[in-house]
Amino acid sequence: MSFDNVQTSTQAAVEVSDLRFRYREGAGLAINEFRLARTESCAVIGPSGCGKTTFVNLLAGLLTADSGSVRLLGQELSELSESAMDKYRGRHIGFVFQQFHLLRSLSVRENLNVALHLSRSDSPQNIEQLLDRLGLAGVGDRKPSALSYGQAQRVAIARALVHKPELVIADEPTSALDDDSAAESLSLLREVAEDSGSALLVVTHDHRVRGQLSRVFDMQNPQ
Amino acid sequence: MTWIRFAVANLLQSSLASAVNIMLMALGTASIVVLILAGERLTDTLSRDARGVDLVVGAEGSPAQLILSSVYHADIPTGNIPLTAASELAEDPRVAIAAPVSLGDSFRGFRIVGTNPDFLEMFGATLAAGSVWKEPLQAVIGAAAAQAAGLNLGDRFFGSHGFSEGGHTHDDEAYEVVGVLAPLGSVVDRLVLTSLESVWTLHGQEGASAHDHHGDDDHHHSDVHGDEDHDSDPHHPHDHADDHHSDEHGDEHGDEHGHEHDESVHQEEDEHHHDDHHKEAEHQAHGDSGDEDHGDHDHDHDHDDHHEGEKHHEDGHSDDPHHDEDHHAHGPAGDNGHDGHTDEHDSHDHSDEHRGHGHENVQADDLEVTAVLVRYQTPLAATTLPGELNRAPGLISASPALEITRILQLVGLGLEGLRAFAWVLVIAASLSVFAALYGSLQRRQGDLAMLRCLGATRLELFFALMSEGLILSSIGIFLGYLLGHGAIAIASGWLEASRGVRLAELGWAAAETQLLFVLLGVSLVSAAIPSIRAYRYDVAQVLAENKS
Repeated sequence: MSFDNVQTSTQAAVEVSDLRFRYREGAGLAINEFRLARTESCAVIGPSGCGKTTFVNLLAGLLTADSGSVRLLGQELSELSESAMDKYRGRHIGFVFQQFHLLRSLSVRENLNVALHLSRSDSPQNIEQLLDRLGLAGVGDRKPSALSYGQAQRVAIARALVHKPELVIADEPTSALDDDSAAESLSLLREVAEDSGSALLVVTHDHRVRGQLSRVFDMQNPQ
Repeated sequence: MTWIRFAVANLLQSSLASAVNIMLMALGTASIVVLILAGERLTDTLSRDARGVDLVVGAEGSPAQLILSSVYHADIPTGNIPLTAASELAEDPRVAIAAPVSLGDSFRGFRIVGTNPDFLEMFGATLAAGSVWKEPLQAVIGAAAAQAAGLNLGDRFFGSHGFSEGGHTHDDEAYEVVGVLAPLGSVVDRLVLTSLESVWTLHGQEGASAHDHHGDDDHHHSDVHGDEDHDSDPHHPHDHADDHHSDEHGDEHGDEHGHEHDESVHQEEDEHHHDDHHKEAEHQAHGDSGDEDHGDHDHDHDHDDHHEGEKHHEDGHSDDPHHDEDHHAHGPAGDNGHDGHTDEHDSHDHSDEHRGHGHENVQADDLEVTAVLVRYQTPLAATTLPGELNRAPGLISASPALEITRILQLVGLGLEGLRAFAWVLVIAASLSVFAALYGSLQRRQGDLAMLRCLGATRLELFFALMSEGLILSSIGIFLGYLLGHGAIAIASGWLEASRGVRLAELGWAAAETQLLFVLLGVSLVSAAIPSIRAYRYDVAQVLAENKS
């Protein structure tokens, strides 16, 4: 399958219908409908344990739904093999995690290069421009261990966007930050996503996020 | 960014642990490589040095010792055997070549081998310069010995007792270099070859001193050249020499010569008898037998110059004007008494007199050699000749091929033990690589899950982890081979320089290829286990665990 043939311009970034997923422990997740437009930003909120992370993992193809449909840029994920899903994810989704998960053995520039390499993107990206945009000029050769918390977070954002994905998923990006830092961080993420034309899905139990994104999806009241 | 580069970056991230793992693998590999190379080089060296020799005949004792001393020149001889035994072998129709060897002396650690030109034929030795010895105390030097000792044609040197440096020097009897052998790449390169008579001459003189001058430590050399039973051997060919020594020292002259007059009578009486035997000896020693000073103890106190003159005559050197002159001059002096003797001391070279000394007392039956190297005329000889020789009293025969096998079996047991230990090192190194990867995997679960989020497939993660393990192991194995070959090269150089043992050249042993595959296999397994674990990671679960 050629992912480049996906007609992303006319499709929603994400379309979910009748999604069902059952954990090993027996509890289940049910989402009847969810839609995220390509330029939309959405906060997925709910208390810990309500299934927020499970939901985005299903959207990213990291988990497989028991039933229902998940379409990413028009592509039905259940139709993809595991390795095809890996490649599809790498090409079209960017991730930002609370722990950043920067690769410690690589420099900042190499972290971005890895993401670019795994996206299998044909279009060259200007890593230096992106680093400049995020205020990271001059730290390209540093290892993650030599970065401040704020720098590391911005590197994580840069890595999520370096290949210009259609969807950016941020999992609890502000949980460990104070109010000012949280607001600043979320603002930066939203701006860069918009600049890249990426939809933004922020998973959080942080209610400070509510007003900063265009839409909120409450897992406790998914309708 | 390729996966290999990613793997290298991860290894560099924990450089100390990586270095330790590499060194462990290198040491284990090097140990096995050294043992493989040592074993194969030993086998090749032993086979190469004995090539052309089907059987060795020597005095009763250990067959292995006989082979080691007479073929490899790496042990002391088992004793001596009568020259007649060698002569009989030479005439045996089943024997193509029978080269006698007479050992006991060395020059700067290079063994002096009394033999005949058949020895050269047996080992395929050719002369690079000069000619084969024709006279006693002429020597042909092996290529390595000539180079190491800096000997050239026409040079003179003194042999010394024993097989290592520091033995008593025959400082009154110089060898002359008349030939240098072309390099053979075998033990022959490190030998000094001379006539049997040369060895007999020098040993006869020294042996005599042991009997005549009890308590004179300088001359107690019998044990050095492996003839431990000299004192008890009534036929041992060591006598006379110190009689001559005393001859050279003024204080004893009068008494000695007073005694000699009586002895000379006996000697003259013996001469006819000895002449017969000398002819026989000359025949047996390929017509060049003049220096048999292996006289009986019955005559160990004589040493007048008359004998020397006689000896030269009987040496078969009568065509040498100098020898004839000696003979004619010494004869009357010896017969007529002290005055004549004194005159001859004034006018004759003492070394020549040494050569001839005691000759009249020698019986051909008493002449001895250390061993005889035999090449069969036909392979069928192997079925009969060894048995016949082993039944002969005082003789033992040994096949180099069989003894090599036995030696290698013994050595092999030791090598196997060491090899097992080396494998323990390799397994420890592999476990260490495994532990390093596994530990790294545990620490990097989040990173690996992130890679999956970024688009890496399970196979790519598996490959990334495998690359790390294989890079570690491969560098270790590569260094191990380098270390192993380097160690063998250094050891070979050291052995050649210090012990005179030249190992066969060996580039890459077949067993090394097998070892390489085994090592890579072990490395693959040790890297595969954590890699499979990485392959099977549940990314969502890992992310959830890392989040909590």
